[in-house]
Amino acid sequence: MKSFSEYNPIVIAVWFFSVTGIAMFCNSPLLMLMSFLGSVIFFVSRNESSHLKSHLFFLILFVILAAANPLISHNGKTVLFVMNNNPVTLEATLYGLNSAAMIIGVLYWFRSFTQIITSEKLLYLTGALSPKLSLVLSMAIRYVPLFKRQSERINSAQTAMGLYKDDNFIDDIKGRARVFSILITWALENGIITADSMEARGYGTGRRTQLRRFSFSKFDIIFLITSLCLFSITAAAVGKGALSFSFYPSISMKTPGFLGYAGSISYGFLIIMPMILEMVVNLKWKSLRSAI
Amino acid sequence: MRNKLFSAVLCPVMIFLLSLAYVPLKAECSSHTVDEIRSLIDGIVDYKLNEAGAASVDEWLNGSIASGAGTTSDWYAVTLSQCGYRDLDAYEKALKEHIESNNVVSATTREKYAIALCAAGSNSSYIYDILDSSVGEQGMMSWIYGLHILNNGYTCSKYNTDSVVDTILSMQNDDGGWALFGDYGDIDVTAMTVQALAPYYCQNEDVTAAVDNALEFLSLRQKENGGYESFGTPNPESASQVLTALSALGIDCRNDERFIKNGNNLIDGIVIYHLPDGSFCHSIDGGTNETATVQAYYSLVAFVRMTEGKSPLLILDNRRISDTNNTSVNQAEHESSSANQAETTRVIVTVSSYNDNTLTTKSSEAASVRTVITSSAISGTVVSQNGTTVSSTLKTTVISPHNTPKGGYKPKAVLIIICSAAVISLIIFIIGKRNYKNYLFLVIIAGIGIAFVLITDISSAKQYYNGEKKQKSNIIGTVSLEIRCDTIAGRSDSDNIPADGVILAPTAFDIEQGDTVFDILNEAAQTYGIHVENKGSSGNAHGMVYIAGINYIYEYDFGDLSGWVYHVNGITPSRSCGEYELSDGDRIEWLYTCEIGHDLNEVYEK
Repeated sequence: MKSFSEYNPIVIAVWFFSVTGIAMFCNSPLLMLMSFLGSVIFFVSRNESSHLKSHLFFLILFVILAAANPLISHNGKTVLFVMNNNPVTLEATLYGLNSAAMIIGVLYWFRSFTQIITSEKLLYLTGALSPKLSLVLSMAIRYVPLFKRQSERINSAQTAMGLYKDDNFIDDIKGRARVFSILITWALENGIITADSMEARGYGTGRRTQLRRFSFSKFDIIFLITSLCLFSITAAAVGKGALSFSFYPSISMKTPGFLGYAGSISYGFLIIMPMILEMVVNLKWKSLRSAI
Repeated sequence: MRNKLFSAVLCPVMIFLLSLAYVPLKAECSSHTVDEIRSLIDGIVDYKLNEAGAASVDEWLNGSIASGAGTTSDWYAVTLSQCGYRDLDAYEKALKEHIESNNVVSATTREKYAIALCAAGSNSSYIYDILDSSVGEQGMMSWIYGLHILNNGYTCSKYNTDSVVDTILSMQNDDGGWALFGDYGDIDVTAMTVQALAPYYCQNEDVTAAVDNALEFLSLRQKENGGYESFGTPNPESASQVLTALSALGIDCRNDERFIKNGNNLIDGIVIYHLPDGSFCHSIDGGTNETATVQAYYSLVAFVRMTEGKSPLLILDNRRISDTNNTSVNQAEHESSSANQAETTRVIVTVSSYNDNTLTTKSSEAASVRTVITSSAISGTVVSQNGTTVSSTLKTTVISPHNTPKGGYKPKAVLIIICSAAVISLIIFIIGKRNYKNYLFLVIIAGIGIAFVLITDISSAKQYYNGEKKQKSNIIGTVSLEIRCDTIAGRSDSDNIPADGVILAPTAFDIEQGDTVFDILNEAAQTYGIHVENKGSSGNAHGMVYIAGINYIYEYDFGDLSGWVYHVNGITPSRSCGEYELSDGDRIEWLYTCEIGHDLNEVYEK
């Protein structure tokens, strides 16, 4: 028995792509709700009270995505009000909510994914395909936190030099624009320096090899087979149209048959599988500690 | 029962008299006997029974006619009621439910439902209630339908038969015809108007003159095969309407020189569209067409009723006028008129003149106006109407009419924005961020907010889809608008695509100077509750607008080259519909194409 993040990266990647794949290629509100709640709970349970500001950002993004659809698409029979000769409808609003839940849910899944799949694991995953690709990928992913750190540095340097005023909005925006411009210049320069530096150290001279330090255990195989089974049941239900749901012009749902129920239940189980695992491991850890 | 007995007795007598009086005289005409016509009618009924999977007419009435109440089966129900099938309780119940669950925005549709309820023998107050709000509200057709209801003895406070007849007469064109729009008469509309006016043919000199002109117009337009053309296409529907109109006037089309061309009469013009399975097609070599079949059905029934001297098709045998003090009078009148039918029939058949009928009518004029109308109608007019095209216009209406004036929310919204900007600037002042640029920023944000409020125009669904014609002051003419999707009719099982492809039958709209195609489409959307989605800058006067979807049918729904296009007078303009300014008499068509316009008859603008 081991914690979810300690499983073989292939198992973790298969599980993530099953969950997000279903979320991206299905529009059933039930699955969307499962995926959305599951992703948020999974992320929060791993990070607890940190990242509060980012939650606010995603909340605003959710509202914008949900509100954009009824303002752009006017299909639907239940008219709420009419704006510039175009009806704003209930169906379009619900469709917007559904797709916003899908997008935010998938974004949260990938936030957890980047936390669990570290660059080392990513190298292991993509290295089997192409070691060069894995190098490029891990370098590209490195840039996101790098830029964040660098922009903070530039910001404090600007403030220290007295060039940065934040007592009014207009100067604030101007200051941030300047910081951004400096960051871009630095990034280009940094890219060239990195390339030169790597060349100087002998990258690209010989064939790249990679170290494989992850192995498949009994638990890995059980987890992999279980998640593949659950995924195929859900995929069959989605593919057969047992979970089809149409919003336009009026909301109509196909009565889910056996396949529909089986698909929904297995997707729900697929989502809570790692959470159950974490819970069991935690309990075991606590009981072991209490025994000391 | 009584009527049945009478008709059973009368029929042989009448056929005998007919053959005596006319067959030798009109030997050169192809004579359709009444029995032949009956077998045609039976053929249509058999076809519909087969289609509905019903064994008997009663089963059909309780089955698919009841389930199609308010949408597809109304004219069958009315006609069957006039053929002696009086057990329409299931249909009546279904129609009432349909009316309750749908807010009927179209005036003509309300009138059609009233006629259907009346035919079903309903006591519903709906028939009275809708008259004030429907008669004349939707142009020509609503006057005609309204007059039909008034002809049945129903009354309303705003109109009586005289005022409606006067209005209809004032709408006659110079060529003797009537039309939904424009200066030239249309066959169908003229024939339907004559059907409604028929009860007054011999009572009112103005009506006599007008109807004579109309008959001359109809006679001139008849083709060599006995049938008619509408918009350049030969079809059986126009001939059906004319047959119904002539039957309403008591004219036997087999014997009237005016309506025999090259030895072919009207019935010949209809029968050539007859298919082996009993149904009728819209164009020769075409397949079964529902509209053609139902119109042929009731026009032939109207003809047979005329030859039998029965009360007319839309002067309904089954009606029950619920006014208490008139019930007994009507009952008595009903019976006496039934008794009169024997004489009346002989009068029509042998003398073929209408004056005698009017005399018998006037003898009962001592009673109220209502009973006079009833008896005059019964004395030999068959009235029918073309409802199928109009009825298909508004199946998907979800919005109820509402009369509240448009609320001025904009001043309030602007005021709220200004107030909140003031409050925020006060807060900024208090917390000490007193840089002038903060206030500048706030003013810019408030300005954007106000601009947004001013360029958007929000109204509630009830206000927008009010079901009323827009009041216009400087009318420069009339245009007609039609929305069709023939190219995809029957290609999908979606409820939004009508079987005949007609989303909005040709409807007349008044225009002001500068009105564009887009304005009229929006007006139609508001008045008839049709869903329309536009994209682009519709706000300004010369908007580049694109219509993405109408009636929930969208571009790309039927392939990459599908979408909505418009034609004006049959020509495809190469401009946005928000830029096309209309002039008097223009005919706008919105058509759905699956091949970027190549499946429509495109004629490009020079």
